[in-house]
Amino acid sequence: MLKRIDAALEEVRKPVSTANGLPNAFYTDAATFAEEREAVLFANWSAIGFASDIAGPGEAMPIDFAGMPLLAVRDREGTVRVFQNTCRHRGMILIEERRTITGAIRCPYHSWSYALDGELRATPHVGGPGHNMHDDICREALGLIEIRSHIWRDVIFVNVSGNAPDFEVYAADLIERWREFDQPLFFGGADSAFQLEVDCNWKLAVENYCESYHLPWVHPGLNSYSRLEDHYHIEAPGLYSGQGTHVYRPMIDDSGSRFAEFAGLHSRWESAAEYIALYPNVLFGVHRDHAYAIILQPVSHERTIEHVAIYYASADMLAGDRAELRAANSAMWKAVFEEDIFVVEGMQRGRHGVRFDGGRFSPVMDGPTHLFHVWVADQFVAASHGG
Amino acid sequence: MVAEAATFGRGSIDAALLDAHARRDNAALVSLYVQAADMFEESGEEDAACFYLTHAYVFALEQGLPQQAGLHARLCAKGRDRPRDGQGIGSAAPSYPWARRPHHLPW
Repeated sequence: MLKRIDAALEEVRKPVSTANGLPNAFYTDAATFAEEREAVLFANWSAIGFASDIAGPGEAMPIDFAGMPLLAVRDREGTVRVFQNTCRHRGMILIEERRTITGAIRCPYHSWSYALDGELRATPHVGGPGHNMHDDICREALGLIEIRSHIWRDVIFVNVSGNAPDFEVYAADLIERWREFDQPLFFGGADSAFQLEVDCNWKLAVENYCESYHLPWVHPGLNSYSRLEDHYHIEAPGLYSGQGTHVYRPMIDDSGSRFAEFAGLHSRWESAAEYIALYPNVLFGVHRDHAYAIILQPVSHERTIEHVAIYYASADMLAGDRAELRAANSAMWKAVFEEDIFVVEGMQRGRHGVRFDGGRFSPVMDGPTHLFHVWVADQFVAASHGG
Repeated sequence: MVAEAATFGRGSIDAALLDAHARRDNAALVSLYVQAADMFEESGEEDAACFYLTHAYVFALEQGLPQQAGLHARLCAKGRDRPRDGQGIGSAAPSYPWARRPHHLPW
């Protein structure tokens, strides 16, 4: 790593009141993005998709994770696994579109075929036409390469490096913080999922999400009932950060219908809600009557796809009589997240200003965002030291 | 489904196979490849028979069709494939270094 980058990262790791943000290269440079893929995304537990997208037995979906082809599969016993979507023969992509595997995963190139648990089941003609085995082709050693995975709150996390602590250790603090919300989540379905494609580096979406500082200006609709002073910082150095509000109001329609609430919550959740970025790339929101997850898919150093899924507290909320309310809730959140697009894309363009020094942080208002910058810097420093 | 019921001569089976491929009729493909394999087996052309039998097996395997076990057994009996333990696809215990944690819905 260049010495000037080392020096710049040390500026990031200073206290929030005097720190600079990550250097421009972390947002505008493809080579730095490639380093970041290894040091940040692959070295930690990163979100790649939703388990509810492969809800049934045999369902499989290909996922492009920062250029790495992955395949998430649910077997007939309900177990979800993540594999490299790469045939062990000649490296062909196995599955191009989401579909249900009724038997085996057959490579379209030479028909090597794999079971849903990754076992290599067939190597047709590998020893010549009509000869399906060869002494030097050991099927036991050529199963699909599995990537370490874990599911939490319907989000599929992967640790590509294989070296991160177990997920339950990695996310222990947040799991404990939201222990009350550790209960079944019911995905709202097609009307409760949407994607936003933004021309910005994925980290900018995290940085914006973490702070409430921008709310009065970017989300003026909140000013009437959720003022800046109604929000509080959530800061877990090295783990996650975000914001909470003391004045959440659930959605109620004209007939008085509302969503069912999660059971057994502390009374503070009557009016509280929390919004947390679990490093590196997933944004969660919890409320007494619904929750959501936003998976940030890094497409390139300056393009991100935000995958949003909204969940409810009971299966009854998935019924037709709640369809309008679900749609209204989805539309509300989509509008809020769309309001953020111009600022994250604006920051991305601003980062091309070559004299920009990474910026400064409000010592009072930008703590959560600064913590994320520090965490990213720490990952790069650790990677450069072979950690 | 027509191809499953019909019996083709050697000359016409190729056309039937192409048609089944074009229609992505996997059940028909399995049936036709078995017919082809049987024809070549009867005429003593073992390599050709095993070629077509392999195709029948792979398509049955891919689709999870019940014929897969019998087709695989025929190939193994001819020394053209290797037996495996277990009773069907997906039942073998995985051999990966980390513990398998079932992730069941809703979870």
